[in-house]
Amino acid sequence: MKNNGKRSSDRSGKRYAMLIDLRKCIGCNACSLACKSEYDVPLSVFRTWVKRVEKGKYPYAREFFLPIVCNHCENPICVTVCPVGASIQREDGIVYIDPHRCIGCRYCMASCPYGVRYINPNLGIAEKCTWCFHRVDAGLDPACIEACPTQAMLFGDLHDPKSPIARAVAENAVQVIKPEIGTDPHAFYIGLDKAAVETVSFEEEEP
Amino acid sequence: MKEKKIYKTGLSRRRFMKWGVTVTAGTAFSGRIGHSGPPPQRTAAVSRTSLKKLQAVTTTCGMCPAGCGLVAFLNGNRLVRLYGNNLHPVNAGGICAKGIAGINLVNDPERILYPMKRNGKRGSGEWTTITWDEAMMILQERLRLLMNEGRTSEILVDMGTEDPLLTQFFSLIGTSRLLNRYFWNHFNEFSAANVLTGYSKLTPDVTNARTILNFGANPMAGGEFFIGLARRLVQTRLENGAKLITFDVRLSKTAACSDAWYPLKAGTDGFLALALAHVIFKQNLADKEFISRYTKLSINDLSQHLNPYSPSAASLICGIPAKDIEKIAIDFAKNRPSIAIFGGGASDHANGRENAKSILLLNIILGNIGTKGGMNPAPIIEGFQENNLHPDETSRTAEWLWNQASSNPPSGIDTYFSFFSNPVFDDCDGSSTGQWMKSEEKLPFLAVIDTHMTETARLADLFLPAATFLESWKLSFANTLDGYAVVNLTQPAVSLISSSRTLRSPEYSEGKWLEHEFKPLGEAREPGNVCLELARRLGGPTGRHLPFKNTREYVQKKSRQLKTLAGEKSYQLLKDKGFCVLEPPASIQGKMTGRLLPVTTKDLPRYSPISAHQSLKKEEFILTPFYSNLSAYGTSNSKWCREIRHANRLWINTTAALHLGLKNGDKVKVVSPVGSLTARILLTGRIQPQSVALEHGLGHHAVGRTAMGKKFKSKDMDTLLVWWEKQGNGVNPMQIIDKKAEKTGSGPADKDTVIRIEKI
Repeated sequence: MKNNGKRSSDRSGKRYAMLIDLRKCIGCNACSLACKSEYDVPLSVFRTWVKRVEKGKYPYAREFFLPIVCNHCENPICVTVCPVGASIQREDGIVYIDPHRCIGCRYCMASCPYGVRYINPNLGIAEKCTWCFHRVDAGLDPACIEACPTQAMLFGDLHDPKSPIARAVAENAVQVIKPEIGTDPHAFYIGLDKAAVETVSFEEEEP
Repeated sequence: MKEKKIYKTGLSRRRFMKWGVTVTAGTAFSGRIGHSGPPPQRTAAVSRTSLKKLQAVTTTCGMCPAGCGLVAFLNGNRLVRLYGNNLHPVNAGGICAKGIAGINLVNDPERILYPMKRNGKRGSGEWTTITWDEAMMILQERLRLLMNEGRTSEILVDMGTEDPLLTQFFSLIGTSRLLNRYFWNHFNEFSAANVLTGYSKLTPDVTNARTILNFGANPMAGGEFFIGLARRLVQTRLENGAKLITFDVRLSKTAACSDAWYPLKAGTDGFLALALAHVIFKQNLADKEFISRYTKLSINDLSQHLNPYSPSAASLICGIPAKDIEKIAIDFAKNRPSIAIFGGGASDHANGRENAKSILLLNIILGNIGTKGGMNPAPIIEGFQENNLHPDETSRTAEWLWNQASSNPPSGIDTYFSFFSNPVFDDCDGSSTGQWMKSEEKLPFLAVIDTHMTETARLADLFLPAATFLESWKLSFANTLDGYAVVNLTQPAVSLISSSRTLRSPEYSEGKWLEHEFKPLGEAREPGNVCLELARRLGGPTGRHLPFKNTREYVQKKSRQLKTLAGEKSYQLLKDKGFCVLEPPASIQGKMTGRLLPVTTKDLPRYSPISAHQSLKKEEFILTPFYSNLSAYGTSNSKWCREIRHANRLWINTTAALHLGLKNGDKVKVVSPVGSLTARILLTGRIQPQSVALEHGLGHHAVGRTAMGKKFKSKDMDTLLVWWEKQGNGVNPMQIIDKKAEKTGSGPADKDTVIRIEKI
């Protein structure tokens, strides 16, 4: 599993990506709980969560649901900064953490622009969404996608032009979170509202 | 006889037999209806460590009435994952957070697994663990005494979930007071539908609709159809370009996923619906042919009846501009097929039944009944539905119970059985119910069957540990929306008796070998099995009518009734796939068009204002309790659900709060005619200025420490990580809601209470 934070740039291999259609999201949190059960994620930390944001004034107020997963960036800062090479990017684009190498220094947490990494309170090492590569390698969809009741999420190989995700990304206007950072995130959204990304969720708000 | 028929969908035994043969054929067609692409694969999961496929058991979700198909995955003998059944027609592989929280329900370290008898005073929390034999003796003696004295009418059975065996057993011993919470909660809707269409349960065919008006329903967060309806609404909006317009006092999840949200004053849905009908008549857009062909109503009468409900009057009463009402009405009438759906937001009021009727009338004048893209009767299979309990009976019982709880002794109830029901927490003004239950004079005996020590269970004389839906056998109907009946099988997925468990078991040391099958954890038992055992012990006609060894045998025999039609395989089919389809699609849709609707001129809905809402002072608001899909029954003590939603804040309109000088996060005292509570407020633009909203399902003072937001040490490491201890566990809005029933339909009217906000 040799890797220096760079993967071959040719398009011959696979490149996994996720597409979240926010027009279909009903904010039910099934993805968060599916993830919790798949990984036994301890309380107080999440790999996947749904941000709820309020926008506009009465009577034109709206509510947005924004499921957050790891973006599995093409240029992952977390992989670059890891001092022990515990953060690894696979050939197919999935970024994961080798639990045996991680020393829990939190450098990756500090560097991640999306805040998707956390320290496992029981183990003291960094963890994050892995797009369920154990399921993907077995030919299944990640847990959150398996659970999504409205089929708002799509996962697949972006390099295969026939795959549903490649078609959906080609046919729709897709957005990513914080494109200006240059990490080239691969969790795409349809109907992403800029305000929804920037605002704090009203539930997290302290009085 | 005629009265009884109203509640069936006119599917005769003969027709049922005819369709029986399609059981096997019907299942081939299933799954992601309306989705092109390859047929769905079976749901699968792999172990994270060994990468081996996990053992899968297909079953049915029991967390809500929707009846989604589940696949439970076992690692060894431990339940590790729950996913939706990809082949199931209701959820097509999806599952909601509540369903996944079933894992928490089963594996909860705070689940009570042994029968217990009260020791000290009621509610003192002193218990003695007893054996099932002792518990059965207590129940048996009690029931026999009541039967011998002819006092079986003094038994009240409170059923939080539907169970055919319970209904059967208690009907056999002569109890007439059966309270089905599902019927009670939807009573206003059922009775309105029954008056206007002759069917109590209608299912909206939103898939084929182009304009959908939603009056106070919230299918994106729960309800009787939940995922089935939510995914169809999402799909029809995006793929067919349908418009979804929601009228609600607050921006519910459904409103957030709608094309437009119109906030209206609480309890005025009926006026709005009649105003829409008024415009449709004025613009000459009504389906006059349908009205004259399928109803006894005359166009003149109708038009005259609707005359006072003008859009300008509606704008004053409901708070929606007249211009918008006209526009929506014309859209609704022209952009067909169209459908108006409704839920608790419209019907849980003092005028709720009239509201529901008004909305249904809107469907009738456009001919949206019994058509593609309209309201259709729910399919019920005659001779199979055991639970033929009349909703009226439930309603009478519920109201009677309320009166009992408030009256002085002597009370008419001797024995109260609560099955998965928690009236002290969930019922309006639950603390008065609690007071009543605490008094041994008023209520001599209270038995509770539940998984946790709920608020009600704490007051019980006898606590019986119940098996969860993941440890039970059950045959049920799914709430399908495509017009064909689906039978669901619930079969146990935990806990598998492994060889090691057998060796460790006390039975083994006694020389017995446990069978290699599923047994509920601890000594928990299925309520159905408890009833069967009681029937055996009581003997007589009760025992003869329920001669089943256990629920498993009951389910097998019941599904064999299907087998006679479908061949030998129906039980195997159910076991394998978890469900079977009983009717080919599109058979019921349009079926009703050949039938006259029973509505007459005197049934036409009228709007009657709710008097308490007419002169609200500046600090007075109408309290709307609401559910989210994370705080419903069964998830109270789920660590994953409580982590996301642990405390609730009182929603209040930003402008209204500014008038009162309140800031976001302020603590306020909420005073109602029956009590008061302290809540933190959430300033938001998502609520109508005359209403406040508070989430229901939080603020437990029993059930478990996770529900109460307390850290504790247990075999589950997570229970020490309860990080929201300081934020508290919220407040329960039902405590301050007045016990008021609907005026005519006598269903609940729990969204009416006027509260006063006091600054602290």
